[in-house]
Amino acid sequence: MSTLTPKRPLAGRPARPPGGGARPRRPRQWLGKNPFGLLLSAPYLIFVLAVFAYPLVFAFWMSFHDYFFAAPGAQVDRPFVGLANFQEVLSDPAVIRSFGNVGIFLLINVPLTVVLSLVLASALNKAVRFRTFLRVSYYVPYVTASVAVVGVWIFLFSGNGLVNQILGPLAPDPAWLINEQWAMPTIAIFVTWKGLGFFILLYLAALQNVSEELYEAAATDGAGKIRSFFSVTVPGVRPATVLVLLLSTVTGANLFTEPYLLTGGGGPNGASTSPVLIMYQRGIEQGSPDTAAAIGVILVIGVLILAFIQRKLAGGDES
Amino acid sequence: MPWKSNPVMIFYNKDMFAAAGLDPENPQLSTYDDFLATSRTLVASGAAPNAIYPAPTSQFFQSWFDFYPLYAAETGGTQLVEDGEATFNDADGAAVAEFWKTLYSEGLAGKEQYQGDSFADGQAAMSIVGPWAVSVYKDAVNWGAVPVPTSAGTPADQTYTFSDAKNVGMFTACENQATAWDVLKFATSEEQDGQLLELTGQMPLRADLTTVYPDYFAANPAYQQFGDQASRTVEVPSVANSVAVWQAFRDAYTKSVITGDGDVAGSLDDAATKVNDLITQP
Repeated sequence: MSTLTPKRPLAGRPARPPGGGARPRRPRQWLGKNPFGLLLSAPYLIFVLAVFAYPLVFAFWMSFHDYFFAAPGAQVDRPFVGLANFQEVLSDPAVIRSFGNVGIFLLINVPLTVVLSLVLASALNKAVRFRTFLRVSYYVPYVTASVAVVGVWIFLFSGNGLVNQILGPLAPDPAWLINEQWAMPTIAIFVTWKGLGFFILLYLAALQNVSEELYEAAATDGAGKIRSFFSVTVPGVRPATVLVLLLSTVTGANLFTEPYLLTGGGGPNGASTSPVLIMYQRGIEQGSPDTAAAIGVILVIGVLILAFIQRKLAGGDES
Repeated sequence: MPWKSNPVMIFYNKDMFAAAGLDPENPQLSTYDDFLATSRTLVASGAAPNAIYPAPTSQFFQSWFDFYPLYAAETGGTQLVEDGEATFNDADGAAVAEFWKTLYSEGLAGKEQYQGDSFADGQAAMSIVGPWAVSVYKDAVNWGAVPVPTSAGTPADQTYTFSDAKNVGMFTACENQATAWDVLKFATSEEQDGQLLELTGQMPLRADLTTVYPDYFAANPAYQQFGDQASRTVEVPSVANSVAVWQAFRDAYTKSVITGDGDVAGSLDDAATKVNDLITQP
């Protein structure tokens, strides 16, 4: 820290304490090129530390201890229990099932999100009329609270709801949200529809970076619209695809609101429970924050592994 | 420390009963057979889309408003767990579960989550509610109230139900215990309990409620039934892991009773095994 890097140019402003000593640049070195920038980023940094980093470390600690809630001010012993919480969680069929459920969810939600948002973003990019209207209508579900939209979906997908009325004899029995086979796919489609606006926006931004000349070159070579979509657009937005994959996996793995509200607590018969819903039940409702933390730690590790695989497969060398 | 209770009863929509050709002043709802026959008439006549509509969802507390009041009545006041052991995997528990299963399988009770108040919205002709409902439905529904049914048709003045009680606890770590105790004593004094009753219609937990506040019950005859019912209630058992116990019970119930998947007695046995295990854990 004390060595000066010659590459770094000096900041324009004079050092605050004009000490005139031998090394006036030292505090500035520590604070970086623009100390003001640190000040600007401090609120977010504090937010990240307080809301993400500290709880994560605390949850990790909790998962290795016999942790329970106690009255404020009470002195209690919370001994280290090694992997006992993990053992308990991993031998619980309800927990295993919730991970299976979220797996089904991701298998439907993530590919659907990537394909639909890319296709719709490309179409939107080319659309001339109603462009703003279309953008807004894709984005509205994303900014609307899930709690509010859930009511509409229950109305749509109930036994005598709109969807079943259109399907007529093809409607599943029991209805979508109380059908063990259909509950999770219905949730996956709901979440895809709800999040699509945000991912379309990411792709729209990425599409602005795909050079028009590439399309012209492809057209000159005789490529049709579909060919140029696959040969120019898809490779051109690959960094955005990696981001969309990653974000939809992370948000999908944290599924909670939909099983909590849309299927009334992970129903029917646990067919739509998610790990986060089980964490809520164990940690908050049933007062076992230690096992809930163990589920959380497993979930974080699982998501990290998935993200790593996605990056390897889709990211290539670019990212 | 006991604070208040909301003993639950069956509310029924008199207009719907009349539309179905049933006697609204003398509803046949005391035995399971009567209750089912009345329900079939209500739905078959088109007077109501559902006879009754308790939340068919998976939250641990939902059994307090379908299975548990009827179980309390059927057993004459037995809790879900007594003397460190689950009680519900007996003939009484199976009878209550089979009763509900019949309602679900015959389409007399809704299996899907309803967004809103099914009783107020005219989606169901009956509802299991506490005394808070008196003021809520006062202008919305022309209602009557009867005790929950039992298989043999227990007389109203002997029928137990679920209390839906709320109690107050004090932490041993509390710094000013004497002050807290004074607050508790004041908040549950005869005068303050009277205020609670007056303002909310919720029943303070004290012996002989109807004789301590005769004026209130004289002025609000609708509450008389609930005040009387408040003397025959069953609490949730005070055991370790009680929320986990109720969740285990609910999971078995939604599967075998609401969905109708598998054998009821067997699934109650499985749930009892889980519950017995849960209550011995710290």
